[in-house]
Amino acid sequence: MNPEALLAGFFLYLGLLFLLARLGEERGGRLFQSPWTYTLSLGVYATAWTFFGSAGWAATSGPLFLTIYLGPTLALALWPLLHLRLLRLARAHRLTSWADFLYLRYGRDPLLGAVAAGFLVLGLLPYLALQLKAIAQAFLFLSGEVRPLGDVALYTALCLAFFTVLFGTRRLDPTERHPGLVLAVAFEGGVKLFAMLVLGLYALLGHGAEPFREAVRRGLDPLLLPPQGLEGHLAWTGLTFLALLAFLFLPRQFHVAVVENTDERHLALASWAFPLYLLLLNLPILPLALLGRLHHPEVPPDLYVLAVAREGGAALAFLAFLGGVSAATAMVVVETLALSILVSHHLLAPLLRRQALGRLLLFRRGTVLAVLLLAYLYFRLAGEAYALVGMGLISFVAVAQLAPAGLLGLFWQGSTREGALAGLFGGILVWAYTLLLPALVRSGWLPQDLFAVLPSFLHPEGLFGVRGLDPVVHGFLASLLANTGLHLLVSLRQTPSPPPSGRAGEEEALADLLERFLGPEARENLRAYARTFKGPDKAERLAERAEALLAGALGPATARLLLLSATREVPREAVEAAARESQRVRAYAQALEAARRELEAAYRRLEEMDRLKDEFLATVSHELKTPLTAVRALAEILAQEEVGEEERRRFTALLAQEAARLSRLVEEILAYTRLEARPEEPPAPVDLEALAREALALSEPLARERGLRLEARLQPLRVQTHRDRALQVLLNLLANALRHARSRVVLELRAEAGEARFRVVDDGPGVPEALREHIFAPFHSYAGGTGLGLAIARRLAEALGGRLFLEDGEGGVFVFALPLRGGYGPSADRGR
Amino acid sequence: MKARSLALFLLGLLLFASPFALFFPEPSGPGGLPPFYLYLFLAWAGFVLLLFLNARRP
Repeated sequence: MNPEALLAGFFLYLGLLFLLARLGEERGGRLFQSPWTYTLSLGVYATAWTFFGSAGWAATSGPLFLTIYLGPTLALALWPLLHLRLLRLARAHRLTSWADFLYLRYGRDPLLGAVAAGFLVLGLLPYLALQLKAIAQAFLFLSGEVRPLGDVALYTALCLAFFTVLFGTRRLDPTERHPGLVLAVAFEGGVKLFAMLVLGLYALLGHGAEPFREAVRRGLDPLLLPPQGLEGHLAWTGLTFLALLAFLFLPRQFHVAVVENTDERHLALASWAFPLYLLLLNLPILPLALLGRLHHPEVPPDLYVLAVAREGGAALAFLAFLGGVSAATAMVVVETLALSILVSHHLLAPLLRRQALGRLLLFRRGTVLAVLLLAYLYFRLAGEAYALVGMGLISFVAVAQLAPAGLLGLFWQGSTREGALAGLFGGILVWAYTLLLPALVRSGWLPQDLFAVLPSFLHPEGLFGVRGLDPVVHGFLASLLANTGLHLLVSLRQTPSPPPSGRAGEEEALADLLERFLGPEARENLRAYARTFKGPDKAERLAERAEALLAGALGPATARLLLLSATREVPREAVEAAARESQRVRAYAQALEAARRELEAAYRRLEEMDRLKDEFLATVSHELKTPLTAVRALAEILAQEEVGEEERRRFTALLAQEAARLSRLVEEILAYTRLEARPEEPPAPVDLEALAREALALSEPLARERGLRLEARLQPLRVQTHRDRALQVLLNLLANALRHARSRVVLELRAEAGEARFRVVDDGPGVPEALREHIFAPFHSYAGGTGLGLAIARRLAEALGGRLFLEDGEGGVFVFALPLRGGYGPSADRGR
Repeated sequence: MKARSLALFLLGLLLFASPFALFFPEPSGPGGLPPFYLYLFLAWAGFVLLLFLNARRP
């Protein structure tokens, strides 16, 4: 083919992708958010390695190439366990890579993040170099030009760097999402599959099952048979497992599968559609490989696909070229973008700080260019000695070194920072020794006889005398063993294991938040809860707890905002202002609520008083009605003529008696109501002894009438009080005592316990236990009184700030106590 | 869902990581196609079907 036409086609295709990306960024919302776009974008897993390298591998080593796609198929079977969890974790903590996760999980250790990021850049160089080599090779092969491969690879690297900068680092997005890029990558995924299927169809229609029979005839049986022997089986299972880990830990895979994911439900489709994609992509590989080997033995195996395609004409060859270019560009763009994010987060962040944030985009672009130039350098160093797959596998093993720290950190609480670091360093060291070193030796940069110098148990491709194992599988098993072993050993030696530090960091942030808004008790509360709770979803539970505590004080919406601010970057001042505002509103609401409760209580009191008043009126009318009925009946009897003189005199006496009782009742009711409408006159000093003598004098006629003796034992005392009311209390008490006494009534006055105490003692039967509760209630008389005397006395006593109560003793003992000092004051209101 | 996924994964291990050399000693089978590849792609397709059913059931 004409090299100019090929180049023109290449750039046209890139231009188309660029337009698609622009479209995706501006109006690709729906397309971008389709689960099919997500699934196809996962196809970035299939690179030039798949497109060109697989056939070469199949044509030389048989079915091993399939392990690279069976691994991800198995990984997707685990998606509810692994991916879903990862997705939620990434969303909660805004993770953009596994290095972010390690940094967060192992106590925000910058060293760990930096080691992981730096090693990923180094480890992925062979993989990137592979893409450069594939494109350069394909270009030279199809154009028929004879030029040094290295030159073309350099142009390819520069061209791809330019393209990535245009694509992925056009602007900074805090979510690190690139809808346009994802759309373009998904489109490339479709192109790859389409091109491969067309090639497969061409092989099927043109040759049917003939290549298989021909291969058997020519003695190529091993290519069609399963891997033989223990070494073969180990290689098969080891590579499957390696591919599984690589699929999980490759930065570009994390980027498209986790960071660019818009909806976790997309995983459901991807979980079966992506394995199907891989299956379809691999169907044509073997026929193409066999055709290449049978028809074009002079061509390097990595070019079999192109050689077979060229048989079918220029159009088919160009399609194959485009498929390979699609695979390579998608991989390079996403991988370098993911690496540039990784580098700016973990290697440049300490240098950048805040003031340089504006230059972040520039740094990203610089990183992309630097990474691709390094990849080119690697290609110059070691690329020519290896087939495409061999280079890619070295990177796979490098990426797999993150697996122990990542998976153990995800599922094992006891995993520690030191363990992770030890494992990572050990794994990297073994990787470099068993895979990188031989690569440099093979390409002639290190002396060839290096292996011969080393003792046999230290042979880089056969540690401890292992023989016959595939070098990649050997390096993979050895490095993973060292990595996991060191991780477990160091983690387990640290007893007692510290709390999972990544989560402890978050716990600290939550505790700070709680303390700021709810005080130190809330911090302690959360701490105590954290201590009692263990489990994989501890972080979520703690967040829930904190949110509940905050919501209790600030309302749920503010709590949500605050919580988000604790884990994400929401402008803190705004949130706190909102929180304070809502706290103030809450205080107002509380005051209002208290006022409402007070009002309600007052209203209940009023209602109760109203009810009492009604009751009082009903009782009073009843009390008045009884003597009135008697009076009316007596008057009617007297009005009749035939009543005798003797009879009339008796009835008249009765009439007078009832009338007197009536008037007494009315007087007492008046006294009681006067009490209710208490006139406000100031208290004055009163001589209590004189007051007592006056009361005795006033009661004397009644005592004489009943034949009772009145005695007095009085101390001279003065207090501030209302004279008339105190006198009324004494009179009521004396009248009550005289009604119950048998022979005498004693009035005492003494100072006791800061009070002036009048004691009225009679020698009557006393107050029965059952009645003690009731004798002070209105109209509860049990000895023929009106039942108001004691009730009035008690109300008066309380209105004076004193007390009236019954004492235990022989007969009835009533005590009327007045405070000696300061008694008439606030306490006076209590009786109201 | 999680238990089913784990069971599927174990089934996948059995399907795709067995010592195949013991079961497929012949390079040529029905229609001249290699039986090992035939088995792998059929098992793969069946596995994808199971994944599909697994994803459909809540």
